Formats: sequence, structure tokens, C-alpha cells
Amino acid sequence: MNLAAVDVSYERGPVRILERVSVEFQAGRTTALLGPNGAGKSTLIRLLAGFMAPTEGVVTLDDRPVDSYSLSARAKMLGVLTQKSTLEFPFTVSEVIEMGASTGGANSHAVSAAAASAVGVDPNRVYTTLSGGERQLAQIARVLAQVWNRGSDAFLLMDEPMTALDLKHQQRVAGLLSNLKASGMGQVIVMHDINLAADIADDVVLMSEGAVVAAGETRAVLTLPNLERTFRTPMSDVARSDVPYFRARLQD
Amino acid sequence: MKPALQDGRSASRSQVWKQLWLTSLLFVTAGFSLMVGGSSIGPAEVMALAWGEASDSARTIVLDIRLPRILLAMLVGAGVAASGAVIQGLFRNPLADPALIGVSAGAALFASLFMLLGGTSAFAMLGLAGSAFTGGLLATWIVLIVGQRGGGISTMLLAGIALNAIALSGVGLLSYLSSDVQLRSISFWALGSLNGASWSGVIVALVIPVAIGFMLLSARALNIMTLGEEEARYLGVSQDKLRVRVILLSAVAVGVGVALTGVIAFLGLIVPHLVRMMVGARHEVLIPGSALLGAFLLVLADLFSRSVFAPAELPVGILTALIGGPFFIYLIVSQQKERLTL
Repeated sequence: MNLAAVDVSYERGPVRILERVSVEFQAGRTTALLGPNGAGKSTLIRLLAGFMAPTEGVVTLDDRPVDSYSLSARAKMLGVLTQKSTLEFPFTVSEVIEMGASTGGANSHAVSAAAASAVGVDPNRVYTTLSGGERQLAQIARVLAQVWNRGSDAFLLMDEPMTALDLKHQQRVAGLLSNLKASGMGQVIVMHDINLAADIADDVVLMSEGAVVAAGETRAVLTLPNLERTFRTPMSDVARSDVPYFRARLQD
Repeated sequence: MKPALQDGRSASRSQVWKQLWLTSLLFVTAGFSLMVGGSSIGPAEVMALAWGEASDSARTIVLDIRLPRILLAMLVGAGVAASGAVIQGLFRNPLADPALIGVSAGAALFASLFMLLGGTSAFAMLGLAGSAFTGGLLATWIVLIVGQRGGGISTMLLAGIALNAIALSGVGLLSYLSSDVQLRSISFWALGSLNGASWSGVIVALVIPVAIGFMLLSARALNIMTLGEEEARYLGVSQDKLRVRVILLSAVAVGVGVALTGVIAFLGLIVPHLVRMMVGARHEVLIPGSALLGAFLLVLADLFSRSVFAPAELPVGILTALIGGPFFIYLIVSQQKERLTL
């Protein structure tokens, strides 16, 4: 299965948020979307997810326009993590995860429990009593539970899943994503941590001011000139300097 | 808010027990309520009635006055509280209330209009119920249209608040224009009272449990909607469809209730809060739990309102507002740290 945006533009009123963006995502590959604030990354995720229709161009899922699927059919093919959820009611974590699992299909109790323990969040706690990072973990578990066993028949679209997480849980989620990728699931992940992206992504799309700056395999795209052009700020390639550089090792 | 700390399965078992417990509490209170009233017919006569050995006057008072009143309190209390639960879920806001989207005020305005224009016709009860329902529906329809134009949930809440003010000033204007007799019935009724309960009212109110049953069909969608409109779409739930369904059903449940008893304040706001503390937030248990607790609380409030100053009686809406208002403020203050946003 593949997911693609073909020549997609998006305008809100007089503002052009995306400008002729064309990207294609394949099953079994993880793509990191990187770029400064306001580059249009979240808008691209929403268009790929079919929440909004592009002003021009088309988004295709499995070679059909994404809006040609019913909401429930789409919910089985796309697990989408947004940046903010408004949940203000005292559901337990397992009840929240169950909302995703029951959308995905059979065995929702077992899938919920597996997803909770995989990301490392206590299913018995009440969502409204959790910290920001713990809420994020619960939401990640909900989205993963939605597409848990679907392998190459589903895509994950995640808007900044790692941002609120501590190092340990970042690595845990990264490990999970890598397992799901091994099952054939395509992944598009908005990130801010370039080094983490380098660790987990097969491909990288660099975006700036609503347009794609560079796209392709991670090694080819993550170069100093590309990053400086994208983020418009001077950078240095730390590995070649003598400045100490700390990072977590990726577990397998 | 005190959480229910159980895993999925044991939680559902204790939830069932709590609902059963609440049900028995409701029936005990209702039975007790049957034995209390302005006249001196007490437990002995009510028991005698059960064996078919009571006087005609006792039979009339218990069967034609007290029983329909208690049944009406149950139905209306259940309708208002269950509507509160689904409206809060739809608006993803624990401070939302049927009154806030204009149902109650719209129903009140149209019912007052009916009282002023044709209140004494042969179909008075049906006409009153029908016009209140129409008013409630019209108000919610306007709120829905505004929401679809302006988009957001907060827009709808603000529209509801404005509509509320307009409708209530309309009721004020009508009472200014009315005769003394009409004025008394309008104001007595705007305060909320079960005084006018009759079997025909109970029969009309039977539409309320039907509406609650349909609300239950949307329980899973409402759970998912609390995650957010965008998140719900990604889980296959469309806000547009759910919004129409939920608002129509609460317009039925609340509009008919308002028509029969006037405005019962705060029940729709507070009962779902209490039920979430007891059994958690899943609408599968929240909706029936709210219906039960709402029924129980209105029977209890009515019992007080007609026995404290007996033989005179207090409009029950005054009592629910007097108790509900401070309790609501307490809830807001005690939940500050959970950053409730309106």
C-alpha cells in the first residue's frame, strides 16, 4: 500500500500554507517530516489523513483518492496522532486505548493491554490525572492499537509523537515503531529532533515555508547545506568537531 | 475528581452493582414518597390500598395525585440528567448543560406564549407540550446552524448563551403583558414544579425513556468524540451526524420535560458529574447512570419541596437551583487543577 500527495497546495483565506507539494510514502518505510515551526508539516499530515481537502492537487491512498473512502474504512487504514487532544473526562487509560483498538477490529481487549504495556503506560490510571508526557503515551498507545495487527495494510501518521516524552519512553516508542515497520507498516512522523530522525527514519522530507526543500533517503538528505537551508539558522556537524555529544543508544 | 481505579473488567462489574444499588434507592424513595403529602394519608392507608381495602378518597389521592407526580418526577429527572450527559460529551465540556444550548429557554418561551394565547383549550396539555418542544427544537436548530456556519463547538456554546438570554427576556416580556392569573402560571411554571402532574402528562412523558434509549445507541461515538473532533474523524466518527442526533434527542427529552414541569435547574449539569465520579466516563454506563440518579434526585427534591412547608409547597426548581448552584461552584473550585475550560 502507498500514500502520496500529488502536486498538493492548500490555502486558508489569502494565506498559502502548502505550495505544490509532491511526496510519496511506501509501505514498510519510516519517513521523518522535518522543518521549522509553520513550515506546513501538520497541515500536510491533515491532508494526507483526509481531514481537509487540498485546494489543488490530490492525495491518494492505495492509488485511490483518500476522500473516496468512507470514514470507517479510512479509520482501518490510517492511524493518526494529532498534537492536541481535548479529552477532559475521567476515562481510564485502558478505556482511551480501547477507543482505538475497537476501531481497528477484533480482540480489542488484548490489543489494548498489549499496546499499553508496549509503550509503558499504566492502563488503570485515570487519564485526567496524568502528566502531559503520560497523556501523550496514552494517545500514542491508542493510535498504535488502532492499526496494531494491520501490517502493510495500514499507515501511521504521527504529529510530534516524541516531543513530550522523556528519553526512556522515546526509545521505547522508537523501538515499537521499528517493530511495526518490520511488519510492513508505513510511517510518516513529524519530528523536531534531527538526530532522533536520523536514527529511526529511512527517508526524510525537509519542509520550509510550505514547500519541500529536499526529500529522499536519510543519509542523502540530512546534509549541512540542506539543514541550514531548511531551518535558516547556522548549524554544525557535531560528529566532526570536538564538542561533547550525548545521545541515547537505539535499542533493538 | 475521585477516579474509579479498576481495570476494565472489574470496573464494569462494580458499575453494574452501583446501577442496581441506585435503582433500588430510587424505588425505595419513590415508595416512601407515595406515603407523604399534604393530606394525612400515611403508610397504613397506602398499604391498605395495596390490599384493595382503602377508602375512595385515599385511592384518589394516592393513585391520581401522588403516583403520577412521582412517575413524572422520575421521567423528567431522568430525561434532563441523561441529556446533560450526552450534551457534555458532544461539546467535550463537563460544564455544558441542556440549558446552555438554549433548549430549556426556547421551550420556556414557547410554552409561555402558548399559555398567553390559548392556554385553556381542550388540548391544553398536549398543546403546551407540543409548543414547548417546538420552542426547544427551534432554539437548538438555531444553535446548530450557527455552529455549522461558524464551525466550532465554542461558537455553538456562545450562541446558546445568547439565545438563552433572548428567550428568557422574551418570557419576561410575556409575563409583563399577561393578566394576573396568566402571570402566576407563567412564573410558577418558569420556576419548575411538579404540581400539575397528571396521568396524561405521564403518558406524554413516556417519550423521554424512548429518547434515552436512542441516546444509548450513540454511546461509543460519544466516548470517541470526547477525544476531539479531528481525533474522532480519524476513528471513523463524524461530528456532524452525531451532533444532529444528540441535539435532537436532548431537545425531545428536555423539551417535553420543560413543557410538563417547567424548568428544572442544574440537574442536567450536576448529575453527570456525580455519576462520572461513581462509575467513570464511558457513556455506556454514564447515560443510564445519569438517568437513574436524575430520577432519584428529582423524586427526592419533590418530596422535600412538598413536605417541608406542607400543606403549602415550594416549586421544586427553586430547590434544585438552591442546592445545585452552590454545589456547582464547589465542583468548579475543587476541579481547578484539572483546568476545565469553557
